[in-house]
Amino acid sequence: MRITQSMFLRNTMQRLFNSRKILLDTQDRIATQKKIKQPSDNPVGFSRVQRLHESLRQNEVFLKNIEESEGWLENSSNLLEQVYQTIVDARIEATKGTDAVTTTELRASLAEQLRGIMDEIVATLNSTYLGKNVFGGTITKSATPFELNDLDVTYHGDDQFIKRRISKQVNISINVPGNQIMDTGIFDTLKETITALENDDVDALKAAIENMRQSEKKFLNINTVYGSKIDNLQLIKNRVTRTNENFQKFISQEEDAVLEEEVIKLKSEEIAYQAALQSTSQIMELNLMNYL
Amino acid sequence: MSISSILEIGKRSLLAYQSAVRTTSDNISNANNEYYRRRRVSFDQLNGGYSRLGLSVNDAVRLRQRFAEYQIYSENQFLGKYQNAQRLLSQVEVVFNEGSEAGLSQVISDFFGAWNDLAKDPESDYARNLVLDKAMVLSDTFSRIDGDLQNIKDQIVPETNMAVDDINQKLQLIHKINQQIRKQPNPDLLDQRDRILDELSKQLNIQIKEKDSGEINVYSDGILLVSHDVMNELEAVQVNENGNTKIKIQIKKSGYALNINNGELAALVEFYNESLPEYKEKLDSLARNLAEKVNEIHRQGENLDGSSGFDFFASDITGISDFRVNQVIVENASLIASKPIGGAEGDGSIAQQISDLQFASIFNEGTANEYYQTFLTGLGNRLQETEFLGNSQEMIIQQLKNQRDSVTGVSMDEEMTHMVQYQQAYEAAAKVITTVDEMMATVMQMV
Repeated sequence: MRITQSMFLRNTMQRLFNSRKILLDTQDRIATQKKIKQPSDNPVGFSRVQRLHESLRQNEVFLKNIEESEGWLENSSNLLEQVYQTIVDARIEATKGTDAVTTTELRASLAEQLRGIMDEIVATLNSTYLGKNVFGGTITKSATPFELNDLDVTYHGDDQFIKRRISKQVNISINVPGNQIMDTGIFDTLKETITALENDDVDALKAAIENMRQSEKKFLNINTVYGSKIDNLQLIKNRVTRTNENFQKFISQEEDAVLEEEVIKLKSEEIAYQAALQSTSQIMELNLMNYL
Repeated sequence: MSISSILEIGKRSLLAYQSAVRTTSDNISNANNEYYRRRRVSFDQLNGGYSRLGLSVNDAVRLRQRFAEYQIYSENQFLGKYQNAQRLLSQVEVVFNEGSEAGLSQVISDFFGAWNDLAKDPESDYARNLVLDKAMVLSDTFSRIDGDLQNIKDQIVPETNMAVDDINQKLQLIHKINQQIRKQPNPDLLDQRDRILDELSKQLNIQIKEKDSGEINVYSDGILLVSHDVMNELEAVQVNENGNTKIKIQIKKSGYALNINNGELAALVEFYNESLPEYKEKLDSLARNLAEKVNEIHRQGENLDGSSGFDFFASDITGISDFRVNQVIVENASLIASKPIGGAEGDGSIAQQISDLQFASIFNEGTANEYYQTFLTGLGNRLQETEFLGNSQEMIIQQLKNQRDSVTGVSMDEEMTHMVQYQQAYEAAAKVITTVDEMMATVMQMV
């Protein structure tokens, strides 16, 4: 085959351009530390990375929701615990009134004390968290949930749950609506107890205290169920955090350039390019003219 | 035979080798000219009746490698199409530069994230303003993409016109060269014509028929564009088809529409008529669906004051170009609904439902983000494929050019060898003349 000047030039240029292009690409990967920057770099990899990014973003929202829910749950749980303790205290105080030696005056003063406790319970249950009623259902601002009128407590909230999304499939409720607290009958039994104390009626008092014990149990039940939510949430939080770490790892594997690998590539490409340049310059000088 | 006739032969040899060296120098000076075809000296015996009159040089012969040349013309059409398509598609890809934080998928996630915040804090004005803010960013992003695509589209029309003008000029030149060659063959004109054909075949799908005289007829889509007496100029016109403007390439004189399926021009026309509207429609569908689904849920909710039945996005959205938040909501963010009708202020279930749309399969391809990813991957695939085809096409053409040049290209070593050869022959011819001169002198001395 005749090898002509133009063929020689064309092939040489093409190969040099190719080498330069490869060098440029490698340099680009090193400079940006990314293997995939746009869809056409690697369509399949790109879409995988984008999906992972999307899942990561969603999970971060879930994580934020979980963390905020935790605050709400812990606060509510503390309040419930506090109320429960107060109720237990009230019962123990009231039990003193069943004693045969207890005088009418002492019962009256116990009644007074219990009225104070009732005030305290209602005040605790009317607490707000970040400006929202904790136990008012979804009526978080427009009304105070529990209203104490002499010994009668009325509930102004609703029975709705406040929900938080903590994963694609799971929506958890984070509140205890006040009607559940009403249903335990603590206010009714407290009223019963106070009335019995004030009426100096020991038999009624004994019955009332027994009722209180029942309400107490129901209240504790709410407390326990609620407390287990915190544990569950903790588990979910750990899982989401771990998943996110994995996502980040996958994303990095998929789209980040491995520096060592790229530098080694760059080195070998550089050598190839230099060799091409050198051989070209040597061969370019060679022709018959040098020998005529 | 007389001594003086030997002088004549010597003179002719001198002239012949002079001319041969000229041809060689012509070849050398054009060694790096891609469109130059090597000339070869063709020596001939000059016969004058009974006696030989020495050497003569015919016109230098221009070498051809027709097979490779025609192959190049037909492969060039694909190269032009792929390369141009790649250039145009990369412009589209830049529009969706997802590496940046303002990429559409990020913006969509942020939008749904804002609804999630509102669901957590349905009583607050702040969360409503955040939702409005993110919705505005979303609509701005759609508008930006729309504007960018429109810019790309707008630039295609003048580019097509320029390409068509360029093609017309080349056709004119071929027309003129055809007429010249008809009168008088001229290798330099043929070089020029081959260069034009090479460029023209990259721009347009053409077929070439060459006549014995060297004139060529250029056809496209079976229509004769140029011969020695026919000259059909092309023009690009914009027509309206079902509300979409499309570019049509037609013959200026007759208005006959040409089917341009290869070359740079085809890439432009296809991109304008098919690819861009297709991409736009995919995004339009995304925007429409998104607005529709959000509105559907939003209408079922009410805000804190108990107002209900509002669309969140404008109700008449047709695509990304008119994607916008409902004006009443822009003016008054407190109209954003968060609770079901009759629900209490702490109930964020409507906001939650809207936020949950991000997980809902509202497209065949899945969620809004998956739909968009599928779109991007499709674009990336197409671009990568075009790039690959362009590169392999380039290799094919390079091979063909090498084939052609192995016959028609200039080899320096060969030319140098010829030069030495001709120079020596020239010296020898000169020696013949001096020898004849001496012989003549000898004859004279005899007198």
